[in-house]
Amino acid sequence: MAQTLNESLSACFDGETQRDELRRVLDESDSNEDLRGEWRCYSSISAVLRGEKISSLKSPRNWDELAARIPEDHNIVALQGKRRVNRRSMVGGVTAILAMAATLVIGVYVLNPGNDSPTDQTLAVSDDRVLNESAGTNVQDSASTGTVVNLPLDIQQQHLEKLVVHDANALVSGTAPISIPQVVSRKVSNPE
Amino acid sequence: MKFRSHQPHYISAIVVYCVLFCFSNSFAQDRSPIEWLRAMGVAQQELNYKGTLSYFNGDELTTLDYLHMVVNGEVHQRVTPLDGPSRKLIREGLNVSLELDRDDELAQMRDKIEAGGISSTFNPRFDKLAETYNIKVGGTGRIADRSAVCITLSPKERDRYRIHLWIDKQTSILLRWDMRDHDKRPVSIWQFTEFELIEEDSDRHSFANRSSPAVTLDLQSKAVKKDRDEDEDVHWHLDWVPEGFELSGTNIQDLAPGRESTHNVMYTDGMVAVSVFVEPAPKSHEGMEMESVSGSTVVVSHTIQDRTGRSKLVTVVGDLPKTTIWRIARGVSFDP
Repeated sequence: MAQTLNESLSACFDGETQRDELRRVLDESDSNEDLRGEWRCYSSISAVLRGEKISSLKSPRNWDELAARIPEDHNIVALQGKRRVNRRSMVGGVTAILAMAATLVIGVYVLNPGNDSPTDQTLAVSDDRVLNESAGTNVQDSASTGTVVNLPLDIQQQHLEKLVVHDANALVSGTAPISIPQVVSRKVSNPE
Repeated sequence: MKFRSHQPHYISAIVVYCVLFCFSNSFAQDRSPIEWLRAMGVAQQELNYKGTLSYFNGDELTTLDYLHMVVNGEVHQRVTPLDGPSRKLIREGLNVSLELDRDDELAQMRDKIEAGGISSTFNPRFDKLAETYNIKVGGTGRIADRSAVCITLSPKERDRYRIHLWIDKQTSILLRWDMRDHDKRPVSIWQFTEFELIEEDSDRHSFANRSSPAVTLDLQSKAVKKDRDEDEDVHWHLDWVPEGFELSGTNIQDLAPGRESTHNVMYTDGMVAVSVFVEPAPKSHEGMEMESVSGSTVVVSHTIQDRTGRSKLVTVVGDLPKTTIWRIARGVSFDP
């Protein structure tokens, strides 16, 4: 059963799945942590290959809703009005929505349970393979390097501490004018 | 024989001011981009001003009240956001503190970074910016109802962002900071919407008469610069920083007696800064690679082994593209 689902999931990312099969994978992902892990792996690779930034995307409310969004002809492009996807005129719409959904459901949604709004601080753990790939390419603006997943609270806190220390030091050094407003504007998450 | 009349002095002062004003305006028209940047640096160290700032971090818009004074040769700044959490940043020379409400999420850090801060005696060398940026005068415009000139810094490599600095023609004060990615999308922008030059003493009381905040984060900087290479306890190095970035400060923070220190170094190219932290890694974080984004600032962490096999957490913070930040982080290694 698990092997079959994994094969279906792989087929989804290859754009070779049928509508019902895709829906079944999404439905199963709602309750199957292992499948979500596989999803994360595939979506990381897809996102990096497309050079997409995933940090500012919103998450769908749940997997069932995502499944319900699958149109009859598989021609899925827009999810929450993501202009990046539209701009790139992606042919593999199914692949795009799957990748985005996976990264965001696992990431932002878990970080902010009950809050669908995009976060100021998007947190990620990067897949080794993905990072190795990105390290070998040219520098790109805002290039995503991995899959967004839940980050331990202590790491969130550590990152926030480092941000504040960095801002204060940059302010005093006088060599980073951007630091003037930054240091009082840091926060972990957006208010409701 | 002494002249006691004040009138001639008053008139002569006006004449001198007018001459200087005309001269400075005339000179300003002929400034090179580097001279504009130098003048901007001098103005920040000499002039007193206040105003209202709008700040867009690529995601959200914030408004801030800003006061900038030079007291006994030291820069004093007070920054107060007018929306969001109630906070106040007070800088007096090298001392920086953040006043917070008790329920502010930053207040949790009080005990953890109280001894933070970095030694910094870095003097920006604006002429060196030309080695890594193409710098030109990008036109003129109006910011906060004042005439401004735009200095554009276009990076020669894609490892950093493009910056537009709008500098006040009359005073050379920076009125607008505009950072864009290589597709010209805004990464972060702040600008004055109201701006006013002030007398030296007119707002000094603002710093002295503080309210009683619930929580104060002291981010005190060390006055004496410490050369990282001279520290025997530091056995790691950076394989790579973007060209033009120089060490601007170091700090070694002892968290508790008997515990290992956190090392912090800061590099800057004169426009943006990047911080590197190396500290003991909790066991739960071994092998993990983590990434955060806060506005335009990227924070990444990963673990490496030191020369004795202990796990260290490397964290890099900066307003640079993610790939650049990750490359810096991956360039941290321990000496054999």
